[in-house]
Amino acid sequence: MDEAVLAQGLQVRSIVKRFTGGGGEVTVVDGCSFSVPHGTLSVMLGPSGCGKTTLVNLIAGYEVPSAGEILLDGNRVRGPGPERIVVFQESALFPWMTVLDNVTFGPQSRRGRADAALRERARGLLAGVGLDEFAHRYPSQLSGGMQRRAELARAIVNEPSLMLLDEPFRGLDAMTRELMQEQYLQLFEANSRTTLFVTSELREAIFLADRLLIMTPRPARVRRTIDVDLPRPRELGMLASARFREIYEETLLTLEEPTWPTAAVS
Amino acid sequence: MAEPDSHSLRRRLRSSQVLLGAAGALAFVAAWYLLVRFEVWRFAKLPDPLSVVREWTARRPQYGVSLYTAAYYQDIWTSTVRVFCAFALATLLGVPTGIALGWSRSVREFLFPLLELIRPIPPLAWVPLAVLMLANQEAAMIFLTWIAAFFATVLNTMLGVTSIDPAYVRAAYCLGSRPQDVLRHVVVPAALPYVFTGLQIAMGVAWFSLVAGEMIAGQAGLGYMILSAYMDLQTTTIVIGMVTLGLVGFLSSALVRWLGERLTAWQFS
Repeated sequence: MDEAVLAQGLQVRSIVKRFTGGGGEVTVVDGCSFSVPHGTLSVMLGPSGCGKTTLVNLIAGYEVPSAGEILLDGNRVRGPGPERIVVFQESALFPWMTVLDNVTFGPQSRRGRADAALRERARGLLAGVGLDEFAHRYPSQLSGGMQRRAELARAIVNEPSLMLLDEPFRGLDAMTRELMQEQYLQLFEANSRTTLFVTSELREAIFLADRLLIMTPRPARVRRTIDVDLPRPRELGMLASARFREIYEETLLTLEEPTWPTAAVS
Repeated sequence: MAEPDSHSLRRRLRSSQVLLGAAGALAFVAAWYLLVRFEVWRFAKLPDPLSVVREWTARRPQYGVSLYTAAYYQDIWTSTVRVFCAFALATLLGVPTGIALGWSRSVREFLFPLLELIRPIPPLAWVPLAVLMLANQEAAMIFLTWIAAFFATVLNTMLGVTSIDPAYVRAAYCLGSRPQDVLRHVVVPAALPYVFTGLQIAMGVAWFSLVAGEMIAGQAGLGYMILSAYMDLQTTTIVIGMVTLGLVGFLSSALVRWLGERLTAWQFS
């Protein structure tokens, strides 16, 4: 029984990823292991360029690991698939489709057609992210924040077993970003999809996460895991709480620790 | 943020723009008139704009070609049919070829060097072979018109496919698309603006090659009409043919542009 429960969610086991480039071999990920329990949100936090995006590409199936294995709900990942949806930092909404057509695209291309029920569900999700009125607009007619919300709706409509978000709010201004974090949390708390969220922003990471995965600089490996026990549903006011400050300082200390001792172990 | 349908028309019809355009055309016609009227250089050999208009609108034209003669419309019709057949063939063959070249690396490696060797051969150099190969006069003319239009379509379509943001293709696969869905719902719509750029160029080079072909090997059409008027020193008819080519060329390009703007309305919203 316990094993079946453990097998749920995402498990990353001793992943190594090497690239051969012009100047020889580069190890980007080196023996990285972690898990994201079913229905929870883990945030991967680390300096930019540490190999977080490579890990996302490996989990999404766009890249093949040099060693190790990735399991989702007990099944080994072997290539891209609609049970693992990625939301990238740059908008990948199709500019030639209306917002609604973008949202229905995934289920429609798997089933071959869009039925009324699907359109209804898509409209419901769009309403949930405040885009109901914009369903028949083209993405270029939306602001940056609205595009990210449409993208979240396009991902969630597929009811994926795992959502991968790679710095989805990067490039938004500070105020839009906070709003997006709040709206995203509402969406997450309503749907509880197993989620791996990548960011290099500390406050954002703690505000969203059930669990923080703090990464080493390249080659990437999990340096430390911190469980965030702030209650849900969360609101921006919690950023001022004492518990938040404690976790913030602990995380900061971990990030500032010199890398050598941990990196020298293996 | 303007509504899609108001985009082209309203912008093109802004009054100051129309006035300025009319002023430019008027200045050209006035300069032409004065140069001929005062016999500057060898302009004395040319007809002035007034005599062209007079001949063009004459019920009984001096040289047999005007708005009131059947021969005039016969030539326009012959050339237009040739151009549209060649253009349709260039689209039907060129767009799929361009998509295949852009989509598949092996198709590109197999075909592209060959295309790049054939492409620089000017349409006129094809005239002898076209006439020898294709016994049918119409087919030879259409082939000559088609060849440059085909290359313009292929190359722009290929460019459109190769310049698609890989994020779109990745997103489509991630959302569970099969390759044929990616082709139909991502590659084709994303490349469409480039395809229409190619088709507009194709329409231009089609008229260009057709008239050249008709002047060398034709027995009808606007190019033939201009050349035979030249043989008989009927300079007003030459100019009538030229102005007519300008008009039909403009109209056919406008048709392609209009169609393109309708099919890629998302670009302008």
